[in-house]
Amino acid sequence: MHYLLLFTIFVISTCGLIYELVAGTLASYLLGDSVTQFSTVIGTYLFAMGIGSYLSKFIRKNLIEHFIRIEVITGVIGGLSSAVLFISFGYSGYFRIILYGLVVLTGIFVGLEIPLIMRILKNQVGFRDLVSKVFTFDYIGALIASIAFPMVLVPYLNLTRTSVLFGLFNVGLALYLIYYFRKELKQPTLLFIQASGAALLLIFAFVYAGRINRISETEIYGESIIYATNSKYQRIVLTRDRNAYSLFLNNHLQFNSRDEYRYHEALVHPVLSHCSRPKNILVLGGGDGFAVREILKYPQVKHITLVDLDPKLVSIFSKNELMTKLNNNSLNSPKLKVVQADAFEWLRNTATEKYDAIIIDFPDPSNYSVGKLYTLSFYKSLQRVMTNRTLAVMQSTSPLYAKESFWCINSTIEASYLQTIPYHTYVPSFGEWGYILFGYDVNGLKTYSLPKKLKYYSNEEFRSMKFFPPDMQDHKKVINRLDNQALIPLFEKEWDSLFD
Amino acid sequence: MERRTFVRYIGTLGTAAILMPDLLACSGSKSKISTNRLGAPLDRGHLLRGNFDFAKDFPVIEMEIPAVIIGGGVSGLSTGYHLKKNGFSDFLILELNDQVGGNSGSGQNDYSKYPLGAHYLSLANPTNKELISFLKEHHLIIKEENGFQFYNEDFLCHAPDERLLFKGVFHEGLVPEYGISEESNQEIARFFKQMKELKLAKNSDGVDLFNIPISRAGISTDLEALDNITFKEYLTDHNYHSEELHWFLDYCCRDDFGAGYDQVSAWAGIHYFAGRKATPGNTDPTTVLTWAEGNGYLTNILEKSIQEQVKRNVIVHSIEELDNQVFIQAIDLSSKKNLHIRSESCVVSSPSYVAKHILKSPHWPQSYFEGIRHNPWLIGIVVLNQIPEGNGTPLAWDNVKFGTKGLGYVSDRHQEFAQTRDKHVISVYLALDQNDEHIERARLFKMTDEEMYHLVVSELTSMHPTIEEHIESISFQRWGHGMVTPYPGALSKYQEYLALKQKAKRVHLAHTDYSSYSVFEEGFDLGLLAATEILKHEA
Repeated sequence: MHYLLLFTIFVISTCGLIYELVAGTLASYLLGDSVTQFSTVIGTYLFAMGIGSYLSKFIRKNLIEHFIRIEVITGVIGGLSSAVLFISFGYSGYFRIILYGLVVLTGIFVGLEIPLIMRILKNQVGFRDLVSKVFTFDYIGALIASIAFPMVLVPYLNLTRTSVLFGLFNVGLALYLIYYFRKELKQPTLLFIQASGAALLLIFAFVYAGRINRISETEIYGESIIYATNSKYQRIVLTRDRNAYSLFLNNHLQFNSRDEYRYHEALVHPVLSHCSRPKNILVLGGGDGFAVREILKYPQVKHITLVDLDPKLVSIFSKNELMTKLNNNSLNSPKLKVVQADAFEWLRNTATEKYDAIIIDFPDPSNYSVGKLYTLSFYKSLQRVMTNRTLAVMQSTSPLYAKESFWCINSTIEASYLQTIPYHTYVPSFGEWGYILFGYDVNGLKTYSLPKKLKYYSNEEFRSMKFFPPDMQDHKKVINRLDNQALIPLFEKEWDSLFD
Repeated sequence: MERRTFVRYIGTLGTAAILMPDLLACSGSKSKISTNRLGAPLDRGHLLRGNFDFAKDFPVIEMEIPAVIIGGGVSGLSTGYHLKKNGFSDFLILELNDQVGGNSGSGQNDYSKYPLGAHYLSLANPTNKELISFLKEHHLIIKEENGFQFYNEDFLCHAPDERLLFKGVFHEGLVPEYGISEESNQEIARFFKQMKELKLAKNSDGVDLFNIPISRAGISTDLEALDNITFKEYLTDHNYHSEELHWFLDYCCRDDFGAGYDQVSAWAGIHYFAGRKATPGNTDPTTVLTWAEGNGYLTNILEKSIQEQVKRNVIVHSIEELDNQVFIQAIDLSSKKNLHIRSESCVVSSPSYVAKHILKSPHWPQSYFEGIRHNPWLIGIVVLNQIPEGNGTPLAWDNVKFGTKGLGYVSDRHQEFAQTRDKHVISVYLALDQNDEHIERARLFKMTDEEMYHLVVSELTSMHPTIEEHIESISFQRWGHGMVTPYPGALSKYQEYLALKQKAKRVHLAHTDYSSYSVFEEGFDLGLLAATEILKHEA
């Protein structure tokens, strides 16, 4: 019998180490900075095991029964830990709490195992022999786990399935022990039902784990995918490359955290700094909260209305702690009101107020649906919320790679009886990027206030942004209307030719 | 035919879909997809089915009204609109249905409005001043400058407007161009060049030979010659043999007239192209105005100006032109009264197949109404939970497949401004023109839901093979009589109308059946002309 229990030690020590490795890997995968993540996860885990060992003294009777229960619980918690962490990363603002909570919980239960086994065996083996055997098997299990994890398990099974598989080993062991000790146990049937239920849950998780884990997509992006989901409107993918994060919507890069400040400072500050009284601000698109972050740098701003189509995107950027760190938690500002709506419909049917400044950050006009947001009709609808003094800006694709598209947007805005100031800047992850500032009268703009400590934007920089060298100029005056959507073929042609 | 017999005739043959709404709103399809038939309320059909005995105890109301308009389609509403515009409001419009609009009627489901028939308006010819002023009045034209009309972009058909499934790929536009032979290409170019020349053709008085509305076109013996042959014969005579061009022109005829180019008069076929001379300042002249509810948008704004004069749910069963008045007998279904109306003048805006049974006038002989013909139509309004995509051009407003007899489908939510929608609503149009119209009509009204389902879905499947699994529901609209079909002789029929109209005193006919071309502009113009007659009479 004591060989069975020694084999048990081997299994539990392998499982225990695997849970620890899964948590460490996942934390560094999602949060970056692997030294910190591994160090804190391992430390917490070992400490929790210590708590478990301490608590073991309170278990006095029915040691085998308790041990079996602990196996089942460890199997379920450890087995599902990876899936829980992956899912909670996207939906919860408390990822770190959940992470360390799970690590502590798993650690405690794993920590209970060895002391209990030693107590079960203490009447059959001499103490000297006992300690020697138990720890030998414990360390062999650890070695095998640490070799198999990077070489076999992660490459062939992925993180989620690995932890589920080892959860099944824990539960499987419990089932075997129930069978072996069936005569000595008080309630073998109840234990059997509990363990079988846990096994079924884990088998189910194993089958569906592929849907949760998106690491396989990594190859498409060339970076680690830390979160991927489909909202009603788009596919949202967050990737991490060392300590930089990127957001992709329908496979189009939206930002890279390394240089997004250039894009967003250039988007927001030309309008806001030239606005005499920026009190009431409208943001269309921009559910990532970066434009709002820049707007909040103006203390005069009292109200910001953000209209975005996709509540899931907004939710990620207002809850996920990595993202709220990037956008300064701007989406939780008390000055902000988030409206979940289609911008065009909202302007036509719902909008009532006038705004001092309007920041428009829509996706590029790559299809007829988005293209509607760049038509004459759209700019006319926008005028419903503009006063004579309102200043607005729209991201307008690249004037270098798609110069006809850029100038088509400019001509269209002009055709709606608005004046424009086109400008551009360099954002390393996008290349040369264009914006169009517009309003009823944009002559003789004055700088009223500019926040200090901007990383990039300044009045001097803005002067040079307004200069367009010959390779970014185009003099055709194509107007994009709902009935022709002339911008779409232009945009397609120009971006396609870039990849020919 | 006796009036009683006529009523039974309507009931049994199920003549117009407007007159003869469907009796059963059933969902008898065996598949998981729910189907239903659109139409007026159940008892309306029953009322029409038998005779008017149900009304014999209704009290009789005697009324005297200077002018009465029978029928609330485009022509009738336009008559009322123009009367009111000229400060005359002593008239009534009597409409059988509970909704005005006639062929421009519309419906609505959980996701979208949709047209039941006519669904677009071509841009106005510059000679059509009255239409232009109507469009201006309702902000469909924003301004006119140097003879150019600037249309409201929101109501112009959004891009992409049309796509054709040709050689396995959806291409923009409906003219097959991709990968066709050089000869075909040249023929197509030659055809359009010829049509362009015909746009400018004038008669000896210097009036355009082709113009819309027809009342603004000149008369010439050249036109009469064109009216005696079919459009297909005309094409062969002029050495057009391209398969692609022939298909395209046949499609145009079936789409606009409900019959193929081998049945339609060459005059009508050419009129379709050469009659359009719009001069928009801010869009392409071939663009159209369209709305989710189709031309129901236009009939609704027409009706708004004359709301007090419109009486719905009124069956007019007799119009007698007497020496010094017109005597109209009708049943008001809402107030359950028999109406005996005496009026100075009456505008009959009912279709020919109704007018010929209810109108007794020495100036409008029964024989005139013979030979005005219509093919039946079936329309399926389909709710899809996935966008009908395909290779090439994305979903357009009008979506057609090359080489088939089908007319494809129109996307009813095309004019919406939102970026995305989870349900798509499309209208599949089928002109039943394979046999004689009477046979087709009988076939249509005997069809079970399964048969209609099969017709509509096979049309869709031919363009999107796996679409059936994405269908959530289909509503069927059956038209016993679609738009008037201009067979050879249509122009002389119109001239017969003009001749009779000159002698008419108190009863005027205003319906596109009589101008041989069923488009909004014609109905609008006929209404304008009828209103002018009434105002003349009143003066």
